[in-house]
Amino acid sequence: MKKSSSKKNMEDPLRLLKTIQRVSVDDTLYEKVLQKTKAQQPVIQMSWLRIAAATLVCLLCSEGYMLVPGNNNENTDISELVTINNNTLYYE
Amino acid sequence: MNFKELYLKNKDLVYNVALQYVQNIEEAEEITQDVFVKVHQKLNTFKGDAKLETWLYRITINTSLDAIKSKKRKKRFAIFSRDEKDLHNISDFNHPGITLENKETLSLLFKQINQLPDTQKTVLLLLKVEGKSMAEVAEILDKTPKAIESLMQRAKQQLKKIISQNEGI
Repeated sequence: MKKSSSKKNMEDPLRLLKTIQRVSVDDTLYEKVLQKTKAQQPVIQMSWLRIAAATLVCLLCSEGYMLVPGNNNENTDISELVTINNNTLYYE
Repeated sequence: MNFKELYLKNKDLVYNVALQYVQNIEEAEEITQDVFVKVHQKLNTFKGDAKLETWLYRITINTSLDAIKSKKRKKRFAIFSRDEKDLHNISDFNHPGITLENKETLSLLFKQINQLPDTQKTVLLLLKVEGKSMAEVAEILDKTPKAIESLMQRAKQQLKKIISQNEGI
C-alpha cells in the first residue's frame, strides 16, 4: 500500500475488500469430510459404555454394603445350622 | 434436511468465510472439513433456536480462529526449534478470490487486518467482505447492533494505527 493511502479516509482500503470474489470449493471435499466423520466415530458404542459403568457402580455398591459391620451375616447363619463340638475338657 | 443436502447448500459459505480468515486454499479446505465434521456430530443437537446459517457462521468463525491460534503456536515452535521444514510448511497468502491486480495491496491489507483482535477482525470481515448487515452480524456474534457498530469503529481506528505504524518502519 502506498504512503498516501493511509492519509485518506479508512474506508478507502476497506472498499477494496468488496472486490474479493466468492469462490467454489473443490468437489472432492465431500468425500474427505465423510472419511473424517467415519474416522471420528467411536469404536465402542456409548450404550455399551453406559452398561459397563452401571455394572461397575453396582459391584462397588454391593462391596461397600458387605463391608459395613452388621451387614455381614455369614457366620451367624452357619453357626445356627451346624453344632460346634467343643473337645476341651472342662476340669483340665 | 439430510447431511449431504446441508453440505451442498452451505459448502461455499463455509469455505469463503474460512478463506477470509486464513487467506490460504489448503487451510480453508481443512477448516471447511472440520466445520462439516462438527456439523455432522452436532446436527442432532441443533434445536433450531437460531437460523441454520447463523449456526454455521458461528461454527466456521470459531473453527477458523482455533486454526489460526494453532498455526501461530506451530510457527512459534518452529522458530524456537529452528526447524526449517516446519517453517516452510507455514503457508503464505494464497486467496483465490482476489484478482492479480489487487493481490499485492490486499495481501498487505490482510496482514494488517490479521493484527486486529479476534472480535474486531470478525466484525470487519463479516461487514466488509461477507456484506452482512449490522443486524445479521449482531445475530451471528450474539451482540447488539450498537455493540457491533462500536466494534467496527474501534476496528477502523486500530487498523489506521497499524497502517501508520507500518508506514513508519
